[in-house]
Amino acid sequence: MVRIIRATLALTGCVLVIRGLMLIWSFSSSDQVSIVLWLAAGLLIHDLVFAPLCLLVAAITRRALPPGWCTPVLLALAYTNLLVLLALPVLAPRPAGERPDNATILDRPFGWGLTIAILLVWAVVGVVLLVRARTRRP
Amino acid sequence: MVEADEAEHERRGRATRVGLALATCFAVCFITGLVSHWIQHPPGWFAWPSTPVWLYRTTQGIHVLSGIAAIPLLLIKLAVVYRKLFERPLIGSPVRLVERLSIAVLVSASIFQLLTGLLNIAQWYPWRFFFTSTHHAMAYIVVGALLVHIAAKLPMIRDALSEGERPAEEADRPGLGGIDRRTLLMAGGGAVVVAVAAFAGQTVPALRRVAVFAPRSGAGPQGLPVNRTAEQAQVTADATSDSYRLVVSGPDGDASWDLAGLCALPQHTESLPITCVEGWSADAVWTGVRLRDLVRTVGGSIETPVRVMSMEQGPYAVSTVPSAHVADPRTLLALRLHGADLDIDHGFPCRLIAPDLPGVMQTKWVARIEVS
Repeated sequence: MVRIIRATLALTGCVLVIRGLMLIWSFSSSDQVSIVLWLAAGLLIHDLVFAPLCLLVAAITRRALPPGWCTPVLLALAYTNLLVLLALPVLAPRPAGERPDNATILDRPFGWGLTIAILLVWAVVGVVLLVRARTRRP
Repeated sequence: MVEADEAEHERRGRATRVGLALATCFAVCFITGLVSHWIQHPPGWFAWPSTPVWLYRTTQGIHVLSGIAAIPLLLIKLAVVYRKLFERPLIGSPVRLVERLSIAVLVSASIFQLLTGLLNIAQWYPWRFFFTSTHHAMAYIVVGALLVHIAAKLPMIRDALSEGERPAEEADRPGLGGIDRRTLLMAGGGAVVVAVAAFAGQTVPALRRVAVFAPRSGAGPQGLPVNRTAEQAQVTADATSDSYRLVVSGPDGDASWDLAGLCALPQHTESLPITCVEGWSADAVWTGVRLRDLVRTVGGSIETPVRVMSMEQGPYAVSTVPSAHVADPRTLLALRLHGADLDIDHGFPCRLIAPDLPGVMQTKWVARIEVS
């Protein structure tokens, strides 16, 4: 039974991948080159830059902080990281001509939004640490 | 060695649970994305209803938000299994090489799909390829590679789910980061909530204030965002010209009206949401002529699709309205929005507004309607 399920999943998966590849096959070659470059860039930037950097920051944090502080601070760093990543498309400076000429898009104070969100994350961590310190006292 | 086995076992337990959540997001995202694609490029067997009016708003909102929810889940999943990238032997056997390559395809396609989707909702296209067709093709590759991955890991997934959590002390174990499983899963759930909340206000009015990264605040002319302005579509001169005529062509020949003539036809007011494929939606009150009334004036049947053409050129100049939406009395050629003349950015002199169609099909600056 499990073998049948596995074979069905694998076969369906292969059919879907082939369908996707066939669609891309019909694109212009300059589009295809661009797709391959972006595929490779995403993988390499994550595996060789982003992930090692995160691990390094986590290792330094763990060395530098007392054990009780570690988990909350690591989580706050992870949340900060996520918030910055999600904000990049609306916040990062764009090359000239890449910004839509339309006043109803990108019309929020994204810098403030990001700042407040990050401050909130760290405030929560601060409260957690304070509560812990209180409850530990006799 | 026992220590290492314990760590590996724990990693599998975490990878499986985060992976299941991620696979669920991908499945939901894939299905809602396909629905949106089929509405715009309908295969013969596909029929999309025009009721309830909030249907497309819901499926497309879920599409964008499930994609956003997948971002933190993918990052956590990759963090949990990152060590496996460096496992010895690096290749080992042909089977292992195939497995590694399939994982590379899955990871790179997933990153590609989420990154390009996130940039698209902010209308940023720093690449050469055409976004929509690429996003559609890559979806098959992501989901296909995911099914192959699940097939390969199925016995492991079953084992991981059938056993409970082994109490692992909060040691500084390699790959466990000193964070216990419960904390990791809670934090992951929290990350999904934070990510979704940061965008959901584009389509859920109650959350508008907390949507700190939503590309649109919801503001705009007549209280409605605009996806493409008249300036961007280069229609300002034609749309405001005194010689404007709407031409409707059908079996009985052509009929044409100027703006005053359109306003003299029977007017109807409908409250219909407008939904953009990019994940924003808004309620609005539209007033105008029923599309089916126009179809009948030229002897057309309301049982057939109708082509609505804009003054603008380009990929979204023509939209084919499905027969269900032609027949629906709520489908209007709108002349007014919230009781005032349409703003030029919303399609003055008149635009199509139909229930449950994506914004790209709600043609603005309508010049011609063809009825078969």
